[in-house]
Amino acid sequence: MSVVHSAPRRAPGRPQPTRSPLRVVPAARPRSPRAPFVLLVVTLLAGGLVGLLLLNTSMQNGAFQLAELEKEAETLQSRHAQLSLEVEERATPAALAERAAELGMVPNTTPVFLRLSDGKVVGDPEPAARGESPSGVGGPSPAAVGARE
Amino acid sequence: MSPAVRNRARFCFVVVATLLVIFAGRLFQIQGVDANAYAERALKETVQPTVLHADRGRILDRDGEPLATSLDAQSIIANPRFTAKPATEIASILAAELGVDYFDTVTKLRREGTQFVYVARKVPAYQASSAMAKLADAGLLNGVTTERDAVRTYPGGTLGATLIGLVSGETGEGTSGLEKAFDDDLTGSDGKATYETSPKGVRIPLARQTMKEAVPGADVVTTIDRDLQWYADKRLAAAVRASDSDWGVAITVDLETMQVLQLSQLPTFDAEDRSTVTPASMNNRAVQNVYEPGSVQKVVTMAALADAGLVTPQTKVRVPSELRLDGFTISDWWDHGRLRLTAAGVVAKSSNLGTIALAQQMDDATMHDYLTKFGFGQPTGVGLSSESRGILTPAERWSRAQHATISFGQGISVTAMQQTAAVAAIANGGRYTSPTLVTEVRRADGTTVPRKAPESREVVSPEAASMVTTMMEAVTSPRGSAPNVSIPGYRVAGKTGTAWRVNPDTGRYVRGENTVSFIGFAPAEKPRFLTYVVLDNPQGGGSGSGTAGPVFRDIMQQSLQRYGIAPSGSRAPRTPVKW
Repeated sequence: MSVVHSAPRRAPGRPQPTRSPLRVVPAARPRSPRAPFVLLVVTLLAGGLVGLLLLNTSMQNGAFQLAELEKEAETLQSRHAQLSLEVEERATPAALAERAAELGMVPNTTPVFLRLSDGKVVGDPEPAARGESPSGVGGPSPAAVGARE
Repeated sequence: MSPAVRNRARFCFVVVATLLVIFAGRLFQIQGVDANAYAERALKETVQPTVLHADRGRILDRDGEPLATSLDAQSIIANPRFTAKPATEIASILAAELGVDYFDTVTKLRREGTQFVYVARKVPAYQASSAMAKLADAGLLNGVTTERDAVRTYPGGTLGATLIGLVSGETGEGTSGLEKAFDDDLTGSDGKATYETSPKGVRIPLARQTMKEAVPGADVVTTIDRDLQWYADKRLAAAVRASDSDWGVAITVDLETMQVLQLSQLPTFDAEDRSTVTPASMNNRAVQNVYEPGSVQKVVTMAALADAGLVTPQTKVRVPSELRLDGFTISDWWDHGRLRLTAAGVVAKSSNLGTIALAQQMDDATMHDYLTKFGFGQPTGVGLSSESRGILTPAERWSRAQHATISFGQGISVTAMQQTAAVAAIANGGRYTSPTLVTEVRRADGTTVPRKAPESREVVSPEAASMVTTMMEAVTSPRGSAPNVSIPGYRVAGKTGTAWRVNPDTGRYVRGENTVSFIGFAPAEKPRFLTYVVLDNPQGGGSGSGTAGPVFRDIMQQSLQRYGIAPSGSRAPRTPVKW
C-alpha cells in the first residue's frame, strides 16, 4: 500500500510542459453561393432600367397626349368663342328688331296699365297699327348721318 | 510579374492617362471656357419663349350684355429656319386662306437671323385652323405655328359706337370713348412662358419651364341700356337725316340714380367697319362739344330766381315788345306788342324778354353762383376723357347785355351733359348729382376697382324745384310752346330751345343757323327719366319743339314703356300763363 502510496508523485512546483487550452474550432463556414446575389442586383438594375424606360415612355406619351389635348381644347375654345359671337350678333337689339319686323310684329306705342289696387285699366287700349310710328327698323344707319368730315 | 507584363501595363497606363488628359482638357474648355456660349446654343435649339396674351376686359351694358368684347383669334407664326425653303408653297396657301399678301408673306417666311416671324395677326380662330389644316395636308406644317391673339369685336356695330370707342389695331390700346377712358382697367397684363420643346414643337416633360400667368383685364360695367341706346340711335339718326343737321346728341338719365341709360351721339361710325370711322364721328359730343343752349337755360334761371324767392309760377310779368341793351336789340321769337304773362307763361311761351325782366332782379355774382352750383363751367366727371368745362365767363366780366342773354341761354356755352345734369337737379327736387356712365369696374378675380362716388349737393330748395317743374309742365300743355311733345297718359315737364348758333370759325352768330333742343322729364309728378335732345344746324333753322321735340317724345315714351312706369292718372296743374 505504501509502495502504491509512495508511488512517486509529481513534486509540486516542478514545471510541466504547457499545453495550449483546447477550444472548439468552429466548423468551416459554408461559402454562400454568389449567384443569387448577382441575380438580385441584375434584377434590380434591370427592373430599374425597365421602370425608368417605361416611366420615360409614359411621360413622353403623356406629353404628346397633353399637346394633343391642349390643341383640342384650344380648337374647342375658339369654336366656342366663334359661336358665342354669333349668338351675340343675333341677340343685338338691331337683329332682334329686324327679326321681329320680319315676323310682322309692330311696336305698341300706346301701352295701358292694369292697376292692381282697384283693377282699373289706366290708359286707352288701342290696337297697334303697322308702320305708324318709327319702330327703329329701317331708316338711315346711324353711321350714315350728320356732318362726317 | 514578368517584365513583359509590366511593360504592357505601363504602356496601357500611358495610353489611358494621355486620353484622360485630353478629355480633361476638352472638358475644361467646354465647361470652363466656352460654357455659356454652348449652353446658349443648346437652349436656342429647343427653348421657345412665348407671350401669354392677356384678354382685354369687356365693356358691358347695365344688364351685362356685351358692348365690346374680345374674340379669340390667332396669330400665325413662322420659323424661317424651316419655312425658308418651302416659302412659296406656304405663302400661296396662306394667301388663299387668310387673304394676306403673297409676296409679303414670302419675304417674312425667308427672313434671316430670326426664328420667329408673325405672318398674320388677329386671324379669326376658325380661319386659322382651316389654314393650318390645309398646310398639314400639304405637309408644310414644319415651322408654322399658331398662337392666341385676341381681336376686339363690337356686336352692336353702330350701337353707342362713339361712346364705346375703339382700340388701336396695332397696339390694342383704347384710342377713343370708354375704351380710352378706362384703358388702364381694361388692359390686362401679359404673361410669359418659356419651355423646352422637341424640334416638332412638343413640350419636353420635366424640362426647364418658367411661367408667368396672364392677368386678364377688368370688365367695365356701364349704365347703358343697350335696347334703349339702339332705339335712341335710330330715332336720332332719322331726325338728323330728316333735318339735315350737322350733329345730334340725345341723353337719357334715370333720375333715381343719375345713371345715363343711353347716350346717342351723331355722326357716329360702325365699329365693325373701320372705313366708316372719321375724326368727326369719334367726337364724344355730349361732353366734348360746347354750344350755346338757348331757351332750355331759362329753367335754370327760373330755378335760381325761385330759390332766391324772386319768382313763383304766378308772378306777373309785363313783357315789352323789344329791349335795347348795350346797343343790342333783343326780341322774342314771335312778334308781339306789350304782353302780360305770368312767370309760368314766360317759360311756357319761351319769352326771352320776360326772362330778362325777371332775371334783372338778381345780380351778376348771385346768378354766376347759381350757375356754378348747377355745374356749369366745370366738367361733370361722367367718366369720359377730354371732357370740356364749357364757357362760363366770370361774373366780374359780365356786361349788362350778357347778364340778360345768359338768362335765356346765349353768351354761355355748355356741354349737353352739363345741361342734362343741371335740369336733372330741378327734376330731383333741387339736388344736383353728377351723372355716371360706369357703375363698376370688375376684375377677373371678382373684386372691383374702387371708384369715386358721384358728388351730390343741394342747389335749390325742393319748393323752388317744384315751382319750376310746374312751369315746365305748362310748356307741353295746349297753351305752351310744345303741345306736340305731350305723351298720352303722362305728365311731361319740358322746355324747348332754339339757340342762335355761333360759327366756330368766326365766333359770330350766323343768321338762320340754330342749335335746337328739347329737354324734359316724366312723369312730372314723380320724375323718373330725363331726356335731352340737341340737333345742331338743322336745314332751314328748325325749332326746339318741331325738330327736337318729337325725338324727345319718342325716346321718352320708349323709356317709360320699357321700364313699366305706369301713369299715375293725376292731372297737370292748370297754371295761368296770362293775367
